[in-house]
Amino acid sequence: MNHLGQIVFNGLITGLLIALPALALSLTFSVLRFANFAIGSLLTVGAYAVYGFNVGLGLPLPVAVACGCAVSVAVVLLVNEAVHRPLRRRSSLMQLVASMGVALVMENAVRLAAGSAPAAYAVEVARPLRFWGLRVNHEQGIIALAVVALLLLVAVLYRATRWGRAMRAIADNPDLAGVRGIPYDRTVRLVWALSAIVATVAGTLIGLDATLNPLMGSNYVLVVFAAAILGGIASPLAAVAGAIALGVVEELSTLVVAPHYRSILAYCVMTLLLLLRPSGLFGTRWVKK
Amino acid sequence: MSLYLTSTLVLVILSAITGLALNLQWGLGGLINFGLFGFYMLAAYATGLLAHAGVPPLLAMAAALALTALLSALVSQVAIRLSEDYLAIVTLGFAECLRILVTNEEWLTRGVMGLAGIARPFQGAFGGKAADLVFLAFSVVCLLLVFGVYQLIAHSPLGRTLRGIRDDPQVVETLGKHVQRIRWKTFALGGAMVGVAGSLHAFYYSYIDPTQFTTIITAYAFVAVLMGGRGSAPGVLLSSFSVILLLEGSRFLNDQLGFMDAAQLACLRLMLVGLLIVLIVRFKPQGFVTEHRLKVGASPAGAEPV
Amino acid sequence: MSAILVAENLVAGYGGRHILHGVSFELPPEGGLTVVGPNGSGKSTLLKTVVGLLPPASGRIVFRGEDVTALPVHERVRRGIGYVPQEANVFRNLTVAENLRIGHEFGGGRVKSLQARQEEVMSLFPEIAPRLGALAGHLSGGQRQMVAMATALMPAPSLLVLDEPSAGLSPRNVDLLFEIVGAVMRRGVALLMIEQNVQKGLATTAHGLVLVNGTVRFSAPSQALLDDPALQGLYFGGRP
Repeated sequence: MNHLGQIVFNGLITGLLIALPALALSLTFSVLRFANFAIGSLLTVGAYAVYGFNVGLGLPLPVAVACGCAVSVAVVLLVNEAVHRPLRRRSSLMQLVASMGVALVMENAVRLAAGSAPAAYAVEVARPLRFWGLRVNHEQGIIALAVVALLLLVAVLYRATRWGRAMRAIADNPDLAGVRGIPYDRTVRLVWALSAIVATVAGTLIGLDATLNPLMGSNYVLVVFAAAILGGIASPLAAVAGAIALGVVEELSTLVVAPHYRSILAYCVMTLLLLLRPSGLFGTRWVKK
Repeated sequence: MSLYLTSTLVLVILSAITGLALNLQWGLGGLINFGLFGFYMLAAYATGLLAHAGVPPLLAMAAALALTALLSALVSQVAIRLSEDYLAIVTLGFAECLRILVTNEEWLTRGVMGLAGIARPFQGAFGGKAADLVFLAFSVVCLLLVFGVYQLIAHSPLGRTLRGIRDDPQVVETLGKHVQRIRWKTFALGGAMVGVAGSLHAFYYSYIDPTQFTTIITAYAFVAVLMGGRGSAPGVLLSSFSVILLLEGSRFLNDQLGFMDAAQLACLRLMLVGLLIVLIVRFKPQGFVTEHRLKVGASPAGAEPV
Repeated sequence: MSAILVAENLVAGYGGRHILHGVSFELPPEGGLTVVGPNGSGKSTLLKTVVGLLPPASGRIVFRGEDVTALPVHERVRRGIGYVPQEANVFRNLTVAENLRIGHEFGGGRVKSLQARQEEVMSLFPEIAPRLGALAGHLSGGQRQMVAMATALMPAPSLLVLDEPSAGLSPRNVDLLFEIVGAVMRRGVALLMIEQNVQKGLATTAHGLVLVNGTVRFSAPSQALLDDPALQGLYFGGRP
C-alpha cells in the first residue's frame, strides 16, 4: 500500500510540475487563440535566466527567480511585439508555425550561451522528509508548495479580478471585448507576462527536480500539450486538472511498462481524447452559438 | 574540397526531397506535418535493418518507402478529423514516440549505439572516389523522380481537387469528392517521399544512430516550403538549394572562423533557421515563388494572406 | 442645441472596395436617429465606422466636440459611446453579472458604484434581473439582446448605438424592446440605430436617415419620412 501511495504521490508531484506550463499554454491558447509551440523553450529560457542570477551572480534562489521572471517577461513581450502581434489577424496555424521558429531561436540561443552540459542550481542538499509513510524529498516539497501557491494566485486573478475578466472576455469574443472598452493589446501583454512568470517558476522547479540542460523544455512540449488537451486546452483551470491527472496516470503506468514509455502513453491518451472529446475531460462545453 | 561539396550537396538533396514531401502533404494537401523527422528516421532505420538482414539495398529502400507510406496513412486517419492546430501536435507526438522507441528498443535498433555498415545501392560497381559521385547521381535521380511525381500530381485534376480542399473544404465536400480518402492518400504519398530521403540518408552515412534525427530536418523542410511558396515545387527546390546550401555550407566555416566549434555553429544554424521561419511567416507568407494557378476571373484586390 | 455626434463625408469599406461614399449627418442629443435603407446600402458599415470598428478611408467623426476618428474602439467606448452589435453581442461563457460588471469597469463611466448602477439598469430590464448568475450564452435570444443592451448602458454612455435591435425577436419582444429604447432616451441618452423594421424604428425616434448605396438620400424628421411616398417606393416596389 505504501508503495502505491508513494507512486500516486510522485505522480501528483509530476502532475504539478506539468501543471504550470500547461496553465501557461492554455492561457495563451484561450486568449490569443493559437497553440504556442515555444512553451518548451520558454521553460528553458526561464530556468537558465534564474540559473544566471543564482549561480552566475550568486543570488539566493528566491531572489534569482524574481530576477529570472523579469528577464523572461521581457523576452516574451519582445517576441509578442516582433512576431505575434503583427500576425494577430492571420490564421492560428501561421502563428503556430511562427512559434516554432521562435522556439528554435530561443532554445539555441540558450544552448549557444550555456553549452550542452547539464547544470544545477546552487542550493543546499537536504535530507528527505517522511510524512505518513511517504518519502518526500526537499525538492518535491518545494514543488508542491510553489505550484499550489502559484496556481491559487493565478486562479484568483483569472476568476475574480478585473484583468482576469478581461482575459476571459477576449477569450470568448475578442471583437466584443474592444466594444466593451477592454484594451486588447494591454490585456494580451498581461497574458504573455503571466505565462512567462508561470513558465519561469516551472522551469526552475524542473531544474531543481532534475538538472538543467538546453533541451529540458523541448522534452516537456509533448507532455504539456497532452496534459492541456486532456484537461481542456481552452480552459486554464481545466488544463491544470488535466496535468495532474496525466502525472498520476504516467506514474501509475510505471507499474506495468518501462519508464521511457511514459511519453508514449501520454501521447496515446492525448490522441484518444482528441478523437473522442476535443474539449477535454474537464473543459466545459464551450458555448459557441 | 570536393568531398565537402559532395556531402553538402547530398544534404541539400535530402532536404529538398523532404521539402517536396511536406509540400505535398501541407502545401497541396493542407495537412501540416510537424513530425517529418520521425518518418525520416523510420525509413532510415528500416533501410538499415533490412540491409543488415541481407536484403539488397534497393529492395530495402522500397520496403522502407512502403512502411513510411503505411504509417503516414495510419496517422492521417487520426489526424484528418482534427483541426490544424491539433494536427501539428499529433504529428509531432507521433515522431517523438518513434524516437523514443528507436532509442530504447535496443534489441531491434541497438539504441544509441546505432547501426553501422549499411550498404549502398550500386556499391560494388565503382570504387574509391567515384563511389561518392555514383551515390550523388543516384540521389539526384531520386530527387528528379520525386519532383516528377509531385509535378504530375500538382498539375493533374487531383492537384486541383487538393487545392480546392486546402482552400475551402466545404465546397469540395458538396461536389461529392471523397475528401477524406484523397487526403490520406496524399499524406501517405508524402510519407513515401520522406521515406526516400530517409533511406538515402542511411545509405549515404552508412552508420545511423538516433541523435542524427532531430528537429532540424523538420525545420529545413518548413523553410523550404514557406520560402518557396506553398504548393510550388520549383519554389521548394529553389529554396532548398539556395538557403540550405548556404546554411550547410557554413559547416565548413569553422575551419576558417576558429572561434566557434562545430556544436556552436550548429546552434547558430538552427537559430538562423528559426529566424528565417519567423521572418518568412511575417513578411512573405506566400513565399517568393507564386503558385501556378488557373486564373478565373478577377482576383480580389488586397487579398488577405493565410 | 448642438449635435452630439457629427459625421463628415465618411468614405469607408473593406478590402479596397468602398461601401460608404461620403456620408454626412448630425445626431441631435435628443430624439434619436434611425438609419433605414435597403440591404447592402451600408447601414452596418456606417455604424462600425462611427463606433470605431472600421477606420474610414476619409472623413471625420466628431463626438461631443472631439475628433475621435483616429481613436480605437475601446477608447471611443470610454468616452461615452455604447454599442450593441446585432450578433455575438454578449460574452456567452461569462455570467450575466460578469457581463454587466465588465461593461461597468471597462466602459469608462465612473458615475456610480457597480451595485447602484446595476440596480438602475436592471430596473429597465426586469426580465433578466433574476438570471444574473446564468451564463449569458444559455439565455434565449431576446434575453441575450437585453443583456447586451444592459451591458452597453452600464457605464452610463451619452450615446447608444444599436444595430438592428429587433432582429430575430418575437413581436412581443420587439414592442418591449422599443419601449425600453424609448425609456433609455427619456433618461437622456442620445440614440443612433439602424432598423429593418422601418415603421417601428421611425416611430421610436424623432429623426430618420435613408441610406441607399452608401449615400444619404433623405434626412428628415421621422414623421415626414413615414408620410413620404418616395420612401414607400423604395420599400414597397412603387415607382422607382
